Amino acid sequence: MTLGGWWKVGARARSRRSVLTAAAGELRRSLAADPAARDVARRGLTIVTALLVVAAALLPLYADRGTVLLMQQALYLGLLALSLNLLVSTTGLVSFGHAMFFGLGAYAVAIPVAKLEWSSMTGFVIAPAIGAVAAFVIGLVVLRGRELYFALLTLGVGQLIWATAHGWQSLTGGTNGTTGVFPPAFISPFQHADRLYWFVFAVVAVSAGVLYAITRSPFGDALRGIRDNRLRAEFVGLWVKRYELTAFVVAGAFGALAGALMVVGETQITSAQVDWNRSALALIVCLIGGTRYILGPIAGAVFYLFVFDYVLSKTILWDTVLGIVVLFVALALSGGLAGMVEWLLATGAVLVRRARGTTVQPQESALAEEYEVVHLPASPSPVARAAEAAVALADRSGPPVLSIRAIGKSFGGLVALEDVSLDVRQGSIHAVIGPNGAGKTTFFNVITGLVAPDGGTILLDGKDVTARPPWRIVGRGLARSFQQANLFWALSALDNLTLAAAAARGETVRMFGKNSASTRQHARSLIELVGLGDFASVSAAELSHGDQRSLEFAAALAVDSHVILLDEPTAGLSPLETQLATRLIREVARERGLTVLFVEHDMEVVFGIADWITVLNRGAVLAEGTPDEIRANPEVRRAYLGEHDQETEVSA
Amino acid sequence: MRICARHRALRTSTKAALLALVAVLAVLAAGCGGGNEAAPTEDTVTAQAGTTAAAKCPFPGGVVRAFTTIDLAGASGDLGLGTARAAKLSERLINEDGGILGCTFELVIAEEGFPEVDPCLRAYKEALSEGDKYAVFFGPTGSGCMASVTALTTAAGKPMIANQAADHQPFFDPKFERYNFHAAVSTFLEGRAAARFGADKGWKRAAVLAPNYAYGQDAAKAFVAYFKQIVDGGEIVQQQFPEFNEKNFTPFINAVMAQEPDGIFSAFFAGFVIPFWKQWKDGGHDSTPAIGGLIDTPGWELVKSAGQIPENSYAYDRGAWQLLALTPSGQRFHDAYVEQYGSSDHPLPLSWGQAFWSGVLMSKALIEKSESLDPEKWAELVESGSFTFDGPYHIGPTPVNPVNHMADNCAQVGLVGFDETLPVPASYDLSDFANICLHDVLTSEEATKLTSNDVGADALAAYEDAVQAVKEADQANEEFGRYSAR
Amino acid sequence: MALGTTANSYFVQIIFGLGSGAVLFLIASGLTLIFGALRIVNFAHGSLYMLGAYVAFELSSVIGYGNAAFWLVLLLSGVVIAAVGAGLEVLFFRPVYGRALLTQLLVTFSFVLIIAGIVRKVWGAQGESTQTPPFLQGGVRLFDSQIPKYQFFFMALALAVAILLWAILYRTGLGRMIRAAVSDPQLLHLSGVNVRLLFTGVFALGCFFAGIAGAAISLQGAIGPEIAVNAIIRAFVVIVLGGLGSLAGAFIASFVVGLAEALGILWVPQASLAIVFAVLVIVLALRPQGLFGTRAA
Repeated sequence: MTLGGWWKVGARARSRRSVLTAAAGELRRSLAADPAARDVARRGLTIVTALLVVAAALLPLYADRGTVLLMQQALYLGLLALSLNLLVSTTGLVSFGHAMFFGLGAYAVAIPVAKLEWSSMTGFVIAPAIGAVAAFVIGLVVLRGRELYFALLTLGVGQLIWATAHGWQSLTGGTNGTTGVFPPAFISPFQHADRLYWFVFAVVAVSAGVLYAITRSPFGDALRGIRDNRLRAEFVGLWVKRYELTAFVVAGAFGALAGALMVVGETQITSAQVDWNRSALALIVCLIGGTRYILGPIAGAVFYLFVFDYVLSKTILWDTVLGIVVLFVALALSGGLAGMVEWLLATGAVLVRRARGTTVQPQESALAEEYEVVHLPASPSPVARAAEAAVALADRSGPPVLSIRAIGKSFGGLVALEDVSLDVRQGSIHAVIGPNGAGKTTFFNVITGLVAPDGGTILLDGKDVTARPPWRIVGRGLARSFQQANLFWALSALDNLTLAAAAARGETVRMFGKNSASTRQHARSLIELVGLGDFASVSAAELSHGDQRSLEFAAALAVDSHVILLDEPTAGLSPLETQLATRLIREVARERGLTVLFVEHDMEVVFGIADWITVLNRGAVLAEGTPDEIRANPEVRRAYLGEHDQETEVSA
Repeated sequence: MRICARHRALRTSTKAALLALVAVLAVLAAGCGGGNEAAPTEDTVTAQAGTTAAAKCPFPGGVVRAFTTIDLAGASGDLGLGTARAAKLSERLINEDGGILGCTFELVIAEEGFPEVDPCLRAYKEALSEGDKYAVFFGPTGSGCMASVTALTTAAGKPMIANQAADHQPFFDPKFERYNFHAAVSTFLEGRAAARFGADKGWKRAAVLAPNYAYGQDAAKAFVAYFKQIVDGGEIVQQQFPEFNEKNFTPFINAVMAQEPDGIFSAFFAGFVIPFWKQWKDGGHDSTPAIGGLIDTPGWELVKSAGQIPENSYAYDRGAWQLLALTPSGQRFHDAYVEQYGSSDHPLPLSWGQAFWSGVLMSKALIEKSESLDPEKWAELVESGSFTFDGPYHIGPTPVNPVNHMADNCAQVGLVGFDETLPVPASYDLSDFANICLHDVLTSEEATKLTSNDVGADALAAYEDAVQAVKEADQANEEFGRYSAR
Repeated sequence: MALGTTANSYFVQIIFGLGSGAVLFLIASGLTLIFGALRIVNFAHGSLYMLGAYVAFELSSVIGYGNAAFWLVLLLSGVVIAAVGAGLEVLFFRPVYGRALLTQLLVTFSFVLIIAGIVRKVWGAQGESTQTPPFLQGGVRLFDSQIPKYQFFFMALALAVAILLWAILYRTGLGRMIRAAVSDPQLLHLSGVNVRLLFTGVFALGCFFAGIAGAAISLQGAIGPEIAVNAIIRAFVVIVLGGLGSLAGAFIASFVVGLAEALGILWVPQASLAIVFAVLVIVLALRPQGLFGTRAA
């Protein structure tokens, strides 16, 4: 063939490929715009899952012994992976040493049976308890690290436990292991191999059910919040460390159960079965199956082991094959196999609907339109206006709700705050202003417990809250919004508020069940209040900037606080949005009797709603007083208001 | 914001590379271009047609079928290759001789995946669940798997003949089972043989350097206990156990040599003996004799020059070809192997191969003499004390200890030499070489202490007679007898 | 405590500890460099090191076993592995820079599996015995013992690599860019630097050192597939102990670990493995960023 001929072939291939790419792109777009197809996919996935579970349950009735044995081993690994997924997917903690709990659970059964002649069922019941206790102790150590450091700490502890099991031969048998831990007679692998399988299946099924319930509970919501945005989680009142530790303990307990199950089923444990390879394997199968799906890890385990078994007997390059599979899934299938199935179903649904001619109603996507306006209720009620007038005349004689005394803070050689004192009166709208670098954000960080001051005290309702952790301060009724919107990005606007409310009310400790109706009602009323009712199910990441600020404000209200700290609430808003936001703050504060302390740069806002102003300059209080007093203060003008002289003259 | 880093589309080059890899995967999965010469299949390794008349065979199906796993794709794949060759060869030789009681002998091999234990156990469980398909089970390569297999076979009422993994635990208390039979050379024997060899050399202070896993630990334990038992005033001055995959032995060597032992027992394996030798030599320790380890053929082949071997280097073996080629069945196996594979990369049989052959011969003898596949009958036969079989480790018929069901096989210990005239130059220098058999290191009295299996004084006496007979037969062969003189 | 161990033996053991620490540093240096600049923990680093050893083995059989040949093989092994690493980085690791930690870990881990299988297929599971160049054969008489010469070679090589890396990072423009990439890759990009090329270069550099380390390790007498796993776990301990991304930390931690292992062998033989991990856990529990690391977010 001539060069020209090859070129034509290439061109045809390219055009075909570009057609494919175009088709793929179009499909992606219509998928995004067709929520009905996604619902079909989700329901379809549930049906597929149910069918597979039934098929697995009935396996001994139609499959050969080898397949049943393999499936049984997949179930141990699957349970381990499921417990790990609670950490990885729900809480965002990637543990690289989870096999240590597998090992602890396994040895908890094997050693008492081999050395003390206990029945293996006793060990089986005790194993999760041992796993939980161990996880508690280990968790206290490993949770001191974050992200990658956490992962490496778990690797280190996991290897330490492996090294102990490996070296302490008199106890564990080392690499020879402990054997002869037979299952009890009623599930003997010879007479009743099928029963053994069903026993294993039942344990795994029940465990999966329990773990599922936990992830769907308020506790699970809290974990997801922590995963998404640790800082925000602290600021809705969650003691993050405690939640993480609890998740770690639960994961450890179920991991140990998986190990105990394996020993009962396989009659053997060696140190080689608890090394980092098994930890890595648990992670791998989570990813392969799909971390976002409740049975994903088990599906991944089944897939992996069946592929492994098949490939091992076919080629000497079996680990290369497995490596390629892992690589492919990691790079191309972010949702794992379950995600791929769901995508296929969704694509199928889209194609079917198109074929049928069902018109697709494009959803009003928050991204598609340009928003200038923050959605707010129309105009302030007469009651509110009257209240507003009344408070404007309020005196400053009562006890302060927030009292800050002589706060100092230095970062190395830089003095950020120096002997700052001020009182915030109940019900006031108190502004803190000052040039950039005056220490305003540090000031807020100190008050809210993010940073410990070098000296001084902070009293909230007369109680000392200096250097307390943020979640505790939130618990006492002080909420904060951030300069840059700080929300649970993956959650919808409504869910953000529900989580905040649930956390503040302590409902998130519930591992089973749902949020109470009153919490949900509270969240719903708040979302209407800030005008985001139509966007309740839009994820926070997709909201416009102004709506995100509104949601922040609503979140501060959701935690039932009576003091609210707002860090530059109108930053980045257009003039119209600013006006509306300001009005909202003032009305809500007056209506609910809230105390507001806010930092602002926009002088119009400050002079518009503040009834008391503190000016900070170079980390110290420069002046304090009513807006008029501050406006007239020459020092303040010099330090700060100089450029604004003209404008304030005009608007005053 | 993390959440904004959504699923970015993969770049073209990545996609291309991924697709290429997936294509490779598909090809591999199809089995092309991935297997090796001895790739095992779940199906039978078909035997060559022999002169068997199936009608003579008393067992249903006309076949005596055996099952084993061999590690071909795992970490000891090189060893597995030699073992698989031996296995197929054994099958062919048996059938050439007329099969077993006129039945065709069929050997089924499954992949073991050493050091993974799960696939191995699964394979055995699956095979055991198939009723009477398999008459005999040979043991796996890995100790980890072996630890559980004997319990499984006993529970299923099937016999297990250990001819690969050489663990002694299934033959002593508390794990002894009556349906277990040993046809190889155990680590127990290897350790004791090394201790015996060292004692004969006059060692008083010995040290141990063994890899820290089942095999190394067992060999070390056996050496230590026996050395202290037979050497008057003998002491073990230091024991070090480097991790299994550690190849830097210098700190361990230093720790051991700091105690100035008369000799070292190091239970290294094949590829680890080479770096050990190098570091030993570079450390200037040539003057201290060191029994380097279980080298076996893949290891011998790694030695490219005489300069790699320090002076006073010894090694031990569980079927050195130089010796076993002298016995009737050993020679048969050796010659058949060389005929088939003499011009391949591995021209000489493994000692593991001879051990496997030994197991096959034992199974044949057990079936023929008891005329049954019932392991109970086999156990009774062995426990009468007078059962022998034509194994490759002796000139005469090999006795089997009635107490622990272990064949009286032999370990070889000797000075390492380099002879360019041999197909594999690295080999034993036969001027300093010993063949130490189980009867040399384990008296019947001690055997009864180690295994609670009361077979009666008559059986023990019969066994002693058989041992005496084989010793005489061995001595009668001048060359063989030279190494077995005790 | 091993009674009767002479002082000389202790000194000798310390030298061996330094020697194995040197090897650790050779492996860990590349790993920590890659992490510092790219923020990616390359699990396949040990496998690349092993591949370097096999590449050196093959190159030696072609180029020869003499002194000059040894240096050439050392360098070429580094270059080959650098090329392999660059290929991996461009094709597979780049897409995962912004992705979740789990994805990154598993993408790099997949290559541990892939490379292991390839090595087993091409060279077998047993390993290969290697030859030493004449100038490194034999030992040096010290402390009443003979210490293999190559132990000193390891130390010298580690020192050379440390100095070379320090010079690159702190004395060249490239090093400045790398350090800038560590602090703020976006800013670097805005200043016109081709960050992608820089990242590939850094990755290749790290793999270059892995290749050299692999070639050097053949001086022990034999190489085998198991050296990959052994290397990566201990390298992790070292770089985490030293502080992820800190070269000085990796240097110090390597020798700490090497010495701890060597002395542990003398003092508490059965527990020497556990000791290293225990040290790691204790240090991290008290100081999660390691000895010299900066507190990560």
